[in-house]
Parts: sequence; structure tokens; C-alpha cells
Amino acid sequence: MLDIVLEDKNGVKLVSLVGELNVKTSSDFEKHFDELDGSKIILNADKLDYISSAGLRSLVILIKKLYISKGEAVMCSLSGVVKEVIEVSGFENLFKIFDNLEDAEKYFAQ
Amino acid sequence: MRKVRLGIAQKCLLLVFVVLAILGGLYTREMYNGKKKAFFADKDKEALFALAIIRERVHSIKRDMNNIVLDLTKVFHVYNPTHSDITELLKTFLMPALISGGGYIEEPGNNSYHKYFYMLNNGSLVVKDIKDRIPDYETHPWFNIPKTTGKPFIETPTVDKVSDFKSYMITFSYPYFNDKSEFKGVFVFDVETKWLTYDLNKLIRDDKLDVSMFFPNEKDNGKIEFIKNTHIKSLSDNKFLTTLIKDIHKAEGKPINITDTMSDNKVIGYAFSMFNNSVYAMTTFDENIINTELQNLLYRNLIVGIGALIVFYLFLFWAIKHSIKPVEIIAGKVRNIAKGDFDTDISIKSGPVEVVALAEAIRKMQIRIKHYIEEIRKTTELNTEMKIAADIQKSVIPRPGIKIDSYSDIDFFQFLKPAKDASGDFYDYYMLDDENLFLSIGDVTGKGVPASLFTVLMLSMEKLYPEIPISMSDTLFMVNNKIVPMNKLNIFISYFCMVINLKTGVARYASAGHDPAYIRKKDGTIVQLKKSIGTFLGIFEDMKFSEEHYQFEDGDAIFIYTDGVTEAMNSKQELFGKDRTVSVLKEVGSEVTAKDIISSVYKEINAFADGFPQSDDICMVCLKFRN
Repeated sequence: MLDIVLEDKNGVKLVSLVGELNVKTSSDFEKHFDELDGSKIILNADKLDYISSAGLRSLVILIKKLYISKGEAVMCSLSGVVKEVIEVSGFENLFKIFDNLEDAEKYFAQ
Repeated sequence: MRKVRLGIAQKCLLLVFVVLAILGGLYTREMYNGKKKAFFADKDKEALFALAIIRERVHSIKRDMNNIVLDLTKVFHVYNPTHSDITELLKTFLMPALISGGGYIEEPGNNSYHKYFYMLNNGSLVVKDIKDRIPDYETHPWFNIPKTTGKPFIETPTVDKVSDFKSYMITFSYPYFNDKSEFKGVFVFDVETKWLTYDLNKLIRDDKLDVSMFFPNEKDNGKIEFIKNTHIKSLSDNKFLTTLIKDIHKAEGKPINITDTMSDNKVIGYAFSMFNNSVYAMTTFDENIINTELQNLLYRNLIVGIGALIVFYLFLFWAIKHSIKPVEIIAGKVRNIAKGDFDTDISIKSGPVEVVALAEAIRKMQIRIKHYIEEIRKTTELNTEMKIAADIQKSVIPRPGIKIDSYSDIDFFQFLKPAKDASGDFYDYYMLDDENLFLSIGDVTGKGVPASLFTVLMLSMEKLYPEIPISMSDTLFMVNNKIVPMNKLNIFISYFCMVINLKTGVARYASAGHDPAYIRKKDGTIVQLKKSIGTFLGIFEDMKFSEEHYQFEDGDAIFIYTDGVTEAMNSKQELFGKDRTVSVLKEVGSEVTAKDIISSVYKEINAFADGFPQSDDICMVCLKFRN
């Protein structure tokens, strides 16, 4: 299960991922990509329990889209398995990762 | 030509109607017999009722006449009225209906009173002098008999021919004695018999009722005078009537049933005597006429019934035909679908709700079937493609057990278990030169044919590495830049490669977002290779990768794997995880071979999954370094 909560905060789209981003739920996540295209995005992984390789692929697709449309995504509040997977996958080379939401918001506020 | 077929519904309908008609016929017949009995009983009652009305009228006439006579007698006694007073009195009294007229007639003599009053149709009174009409009236029985007997007298009807019809008048005469009991005259009353019966038909609402009267005409040698005609000839027969009169006398005033006296029993009715046997009345029904009427009624009912049945049947037939027509249309279309034409439009615009619903259900089924067939076709195609892809892949990936040319005793083992035919995981190894072994493992994200094609692409590119004497990081940089432009399908690869000098144990490696390998030291400790910089291949061009180094020591076993190992799942959706992997590696012992290590891990994965199907490819490579 994956719940995706979208909020608009001062022109920054806050995407809270709740649950698991896996082969079953990644397509739900990808449905929002057109909406997110070209935006400043904070992916809040505070309540994200798990991310599989299919989930990683979704993230990469989003990053690629944003690269073309001059948007930017950052990720925050990673923990546990998710943090491990994201780090192992070398995703810090793809987007900025913050410890918490405040830092991510500050980054976009600059 | 179109065959005319009767569907099961029409057959059933026809059968139902035949049965209904037979039952209806039987029922009608039964009803008719029952009805006939009741009908005759009703007619019997009607005849008796009509007779009772006549009797009541006769009584009423008698009562009226008696009262008038009593009243007039008292008045005469008390007032001794003059002739003109008598006229006024009589005018007042002679009002009762059914009494046509009356008067007071004194004995002939000077100044005698003999006036007779009778009522015209318009209600006015006409006064006549009897003496003018019948000068010798004192010799007539109606005067003479009361005078001599002192009792009232009823005269048998006199038959007068008035214009073109016969009038039957009964005369009643009552003697008048003055207060000294001297006979002075008679009160006379005339009753026209036809008024007794003329309105009976209307009264009992049946024009089939015959009301007749008859009496022996003494002026005609006792021949029976029959008043009013009847349908039945035998009733007006003189002989029959003579017998009937005798029977009536025997009954002593009670009405007698005519059916009992008729031999051929064709009449229902009653007869009785009126006014002291001066006239007789009978009320009759002709049984034949009643029968005919009943039969007509029966026929009419039957015809109406049959007609209604036919109309009903035709309507139902039409309704069924009408509702079946769309079903036939649907049947035709379904046959088309059965032939394989899945684009047939089965929908029906109009028709009974159920049929439209049926068409809709079939249409949905049609869409489903079409969809399924498409799916099956795709899957079949895909499966075939998958098989081909898997075959190609198998021919490219080094087969397990192949010895590395110059190091035939090297302790090396590899394991690949795709979740489906073609794998997204791959590994490779070969000797770059006499001393350097190239090792790689990779996981292509995505599944199926495209993923497996990428594994082949990777394996092919790896074969070119010996020609390019550059660093590991540069190698990945180059490979990535080659992949990105052809990656429209967004396929990404986590990749790990390593070159080990089998003599010195010096190893260099690079990783593209792949899980760092584990090293099992001789003493059983587990270390993880230092993480290198770099993420998945195929995302962006010009991504940076770093080259890292490791110095193998005697007994070091390197365990490289894909996430199919750590993310193997059980039915509780739990992951096998790194901790379990590490603990298996710890527990295998120092003497085991690379093959044993991989077998142990796989065994543990199977025990953990406990039958839960493998969802991701599993790939493991293990090398045990010996100095």
C-alpha cells in the first residue's frame, strides 16, 4: 500500500509518501508525474517504509523528467531500509537528500 | 425461405389455451345445468309472486268495497241524506283505484235514486242514470239477488265489446237496509278485470310472464272465456281449463301449481280463484321459451368466452413474438461472435427490459472475451519472445561450472535463478589476462524482454573491456554514456564490476548503485566493501563513478549478490534482508567452498520463503581467494 499526499507549499510541491513504494505501487506514484513535471518537489520519505528496485526506477524516471523540464526534486527524512537502499543506489548523485523537512524547505526558500 | 418455427413459449401458450378452453367449456356446461335449475326455481317464485300481487289486489278491492258499503250505510242511517247529498257522498267515496265505477240504486218508483258513477281515464267522474240504460234493472240478478237474499252478490264477468277490445266487468252489489231493516236499494261496484293484471309484467320485470284470467261464461253455455292470450295454445284449451277450474276448487282458495296438472310439463305457473269463483287467474312461464332464452344466454357466453380467449391468445402470441424478436436478433449476432467477429454490435435500442439487459450482458461478455483474447495473444507472443530472449541470454551468460582457463583449481561459483524465463539479473567473469580475473554482476530494473535485452547488451559490452585499458571508473563512465542515448524505455542498471589479480590479491572495483559486496574473512568476520561513488547506469550522461581498491587476503571469500537475495519475501511480506544474509555467511565455517556458501544462502532463502513464490531474479557470485 502506498498513500501519496500532495500539498502545495509556497510554490513547492510537498509529496508525502506513506507506505511502500514497490512494483505494485510505483505505477500509482508515476500517475502523478505529469502533475509534478517542472516543479520544485520535496519527496517526504518520513513515513515511507520500503522502496524496491521498481520504486527506485520510478524515482529515476521522475528525476529524468524534471531534468528536462528544469524542475528539481529533493528527498527528506529518509530512514531505515529506505535510507540504506537510496544510499546504496548512489542516488545522492541524482538529487539532494535532507535529514528533515525543514532543511528541504529552507533549501527551496533560498 | 424463413422457416416458421414455434418456440417453446408459443407451444406452451397454445397448450395452456387448449386446456383453458376445455376447462372453460366444461365449467360453462356445469354452470349452465346449475343455472338452469336455479333459473327455473326463480321463475317459479316469480309466477307465485305475481299471483300473490293479484290476490292482494283482490283483497284490497273487497276491503275497499266493504268499507265503503259499511260507511255509506252508517251515514245513510244517521243523516238520511237527500238525493243531492247522496251524489256528493258517492263522489267522495268511489275513489279507490281498481274500482272502475259504482253507484247506489234504489228500488224503482217515484223519486227513486239510481245513479252510477264511473271514472274516466283522465280521472274525472261521469254520472249515469241506470234507469235510462236498463229500465228493468230490478229484474237483473245484481239487483234482485241481494234484495231477496239480503247478501252481497258478485256477478260473473260480463263481456262487453267496447270499440275493438273486449271488456270483462265484474259487478258487485251490496243490499242496503235502512235503520228499520227495510230493503231500500243496492250499492253496486264494477271492477274491470284487466286492471288487476295489466301492469304485472312491469312490476316483476319479466315480459316472459303470462298473466291470464278465465271464467265460464254462463251467457255462452258455460264455455270458458279466456282473457289475454298466452304463448301456449294448450293453456287456452277449453277442456284443460275446465279441469283446471275443478282442481282450483279442490284446493280451496290456495294457488295450485300448473306444472302438476300439465301432462307434458311445458309450463311453470300457478292458478287460483278470485271473487268467489267468479273469475280465475293464472301466472305462467313457457318452459320452452325459458329454455331457448337460457340456451341463447349460454351460446352468447360461449361465443364471448371463445372470442375473448382468441383475442387474449393473439395478444399474448403477439407479445411473445414481439419480445422474442430481439432475442432472435441477439441470437443471430451471437452466432456472428461465435464465428469470430468480435466487432459485432450486439446492443439493442428497444425491446423488453430483460432482453435489453441480456444484450447488455452479452455485450459486456463480448468486450471481456475480446480483451482476454487480446491478452492471451499478447501473453503468448510475449512468452515466445521471452523464451527467445531467455535463450539468447543463456548463450551469453557464462554457464555455471565453466573453468577459468589457466586457473582450473580456482574456487569460484555463480548462481542465477530468474523469476521468469528471461532474467533481469546477470553476471559475468573471464580472465583479462593470465593473472587478472574480471567479475561482474548487474540488475536491470524492469522485467521481461526489454530488461533481458539490456543484460545481453551489458554482457556484450563487457567483452570489449580487454581492448580498453582504462580504469574501472572510466569504464563505467563510458558504458553509461553509451547506454543513456538508447534508453528510451527508462531501463536502469545497478552494476558492480571488479578486477582481481589472482596472484597478488589486489582488486579494484566500481559500482553503479549496486549493493556493496561482502567479504568473509578467514576468521569468520564479515566486512562490506567500501561504497564507491556512482548510481545506476542509463540515467544521465556524464555521471561520475569512482574506482575503489581492496587487498584480498588468504581465505577471503567475496560474496556478490543482487537484491533478489536481500528482498526475497515470505508469505508475511517480510524481507530476507541483509542481516540474515550476513549471518548465513558468518555461520558457514572457514573450510567451505564458494559453491557451499552460495548453496547455504540459497537454502536459507528457500527456508525463509517457505514456498512463497520468488518474485525477483536471484543472482549470486562467490570467489574464495587462496594465496
